[in-house]
Amino acid sequence: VMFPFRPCDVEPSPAHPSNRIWRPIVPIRIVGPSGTKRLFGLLDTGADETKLPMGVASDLGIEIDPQQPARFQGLAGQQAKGFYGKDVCFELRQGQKSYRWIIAKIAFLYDPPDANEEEKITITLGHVGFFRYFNVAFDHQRSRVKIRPNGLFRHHPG
Amino acid sequence: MLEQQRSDAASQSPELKPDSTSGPSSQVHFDAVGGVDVDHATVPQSIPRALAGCWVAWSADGLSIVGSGTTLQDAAEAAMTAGETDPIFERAAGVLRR
Repeated sequence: VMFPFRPCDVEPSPAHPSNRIWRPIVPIRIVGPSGTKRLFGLLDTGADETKLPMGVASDLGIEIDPQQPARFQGLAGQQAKGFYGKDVCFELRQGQKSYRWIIAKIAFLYDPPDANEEEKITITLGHVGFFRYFNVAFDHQRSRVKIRPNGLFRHHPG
Repeated sequence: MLEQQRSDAASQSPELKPDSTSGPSSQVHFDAVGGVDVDHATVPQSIPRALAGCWVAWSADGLSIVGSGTTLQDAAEAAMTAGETDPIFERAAGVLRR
């Protein structure tokens, strides 16, 4: 499947003097025991794990394990905390093509107090749970990303 | 032919016109190499400035805005009115941090 990069408004910087930047963000569906939710997912090769907002767990009836806390620290030192949940189904769909898979353990994080609205609504697709199962080609010339399942991907019938 | 297709895509919406130094609009190609997957890529609609701070409902493929509102519920109702049963919601925040 192939998705275009999405435009995001940013403050210009010396390195990127435009107020718009194009990011590899793809539509993705999360399936839980009590419903489904479509969200935008940022393909973040710098993220070890795939993470979801805590609100998604409650919206979709996903049970979190209070015995398994999740703590992450970003490159800039920012911290995020939450808990792990289990067996969350993801679906990547474009037209007739659909890839569904289960992430056995996934972190649900509380929004940091200084999170902007985009951060609150966009999930992070990292190595565990995403890049491990897909070969991803970022094409900045054409501003699009091509995603193909690899040999580790196991389709979940849903 | 390829250039014609590109021109047609760019003429569908003024939002597709290049508006920055690095946007892809002027570089998007609709080639047919291998005939697989290639022509799915189109440019997502830009969020109008007037919607900054509003909730925006996108089509299921994330390419088109199908509704908006000051609350998530308003955006959801607008999307439903537009016939989109599987929208993606986003808060249009205006200028974001890097």
